[in-house]
Amino acid sequence: MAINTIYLDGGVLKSANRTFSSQAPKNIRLEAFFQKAVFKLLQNKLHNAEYSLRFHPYKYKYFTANSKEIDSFLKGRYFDLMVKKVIGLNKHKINYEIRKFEPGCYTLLHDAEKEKEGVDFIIDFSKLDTYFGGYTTYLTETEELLTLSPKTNTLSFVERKNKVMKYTKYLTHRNKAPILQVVGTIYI
Amino acid sequence: MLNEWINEKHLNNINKARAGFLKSKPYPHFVLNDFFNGNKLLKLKNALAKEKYEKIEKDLFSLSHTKDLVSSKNNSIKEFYGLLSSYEFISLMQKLTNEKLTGKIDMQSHVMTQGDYLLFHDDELEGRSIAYIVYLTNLSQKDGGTLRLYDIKSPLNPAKKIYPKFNSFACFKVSTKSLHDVEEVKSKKKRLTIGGWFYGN
Repeated sequence: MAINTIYLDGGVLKSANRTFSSQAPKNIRLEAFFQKAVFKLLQNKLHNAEYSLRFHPYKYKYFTANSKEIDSFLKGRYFDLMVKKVIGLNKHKINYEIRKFEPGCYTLLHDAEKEKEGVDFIIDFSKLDTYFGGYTTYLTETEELLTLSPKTNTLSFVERKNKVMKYTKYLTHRNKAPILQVVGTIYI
Repeated sequence: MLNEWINEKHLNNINKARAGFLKSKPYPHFVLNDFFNGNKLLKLKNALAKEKYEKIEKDLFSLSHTKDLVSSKNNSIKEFYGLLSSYEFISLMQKLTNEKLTGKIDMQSHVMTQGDYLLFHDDELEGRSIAYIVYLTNLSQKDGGTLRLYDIKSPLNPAKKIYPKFNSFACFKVSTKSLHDVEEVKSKKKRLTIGGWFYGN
């Protein structure tokens, strides 16, 4: 699964790591992450996958699917390289799911403070760059820290430490296409 | 005061309304149409146009609301606040719901426009006994903005839908089971309400 070759360059990776580490909370978004043809292929696979509803009224509503391509990518050497070089973790384990947000989908903060800390990642396979809602917000009890809007073909990392919570905003019915993301957490 | 403000047909039908409230599903509620004096309510609606609304975006909702209207300086709003917190009205509410109320109320006005929504919650908070909504605009099914009550055991489909209708007065009993949401407003119509809670022991 070929990623954009600029992300194989040692200098670029070093600079990405510096950017990641200098933010609060630590975060970075790698744009044009996959090579175009590979991205299109994965995007089509994910859009055509079979989704099932995950719904708990007080917690979340969205659709999930499985993909062996995504699974092997996340276990493969390119993603491992990103984890090592961009966020600086040598040994890790991953938890993830493939999420489709149709209009009406959301996640709420309920119980979010109990989530184990780690570095979250989002690989974005959405077709559009502008959505009404559907962004992911990181916050504490007192302030909002960071908001990530959907953006096609990006890989984002956000370090989520103690007391930082996140939710993904309700996606309104004005949207013409779903949001499709691989959402996960890297644990040390 | 009640005679001036409340439609006579409702004052003459309290027992029937209470019976309806108590047996309604998925949990006790009523919707009483043409409840208030329409002219007075229109005056109140116009007065609200001068109040300050703040837009709030949270995980649970997107909407605009006023501060508690107890602090409003407007005479029409003060009169309405006075009505709902009056001994006579609280007594009426007790008769309509069979709940014992303390006389304490909360009152805010909410505006929801295209894309605004309020997701699932139960309103449960210490002391809240009855939630109420006074509708000040009309929205049809295609406009969205419907208040939906759910049986907590089957939250995929609402058990009851309440469409905003000018001068209708909706109430439901607050408990850990009073699961409800407000559907996203899908058209350019404005959903304007006054709402809050009557407190109990």
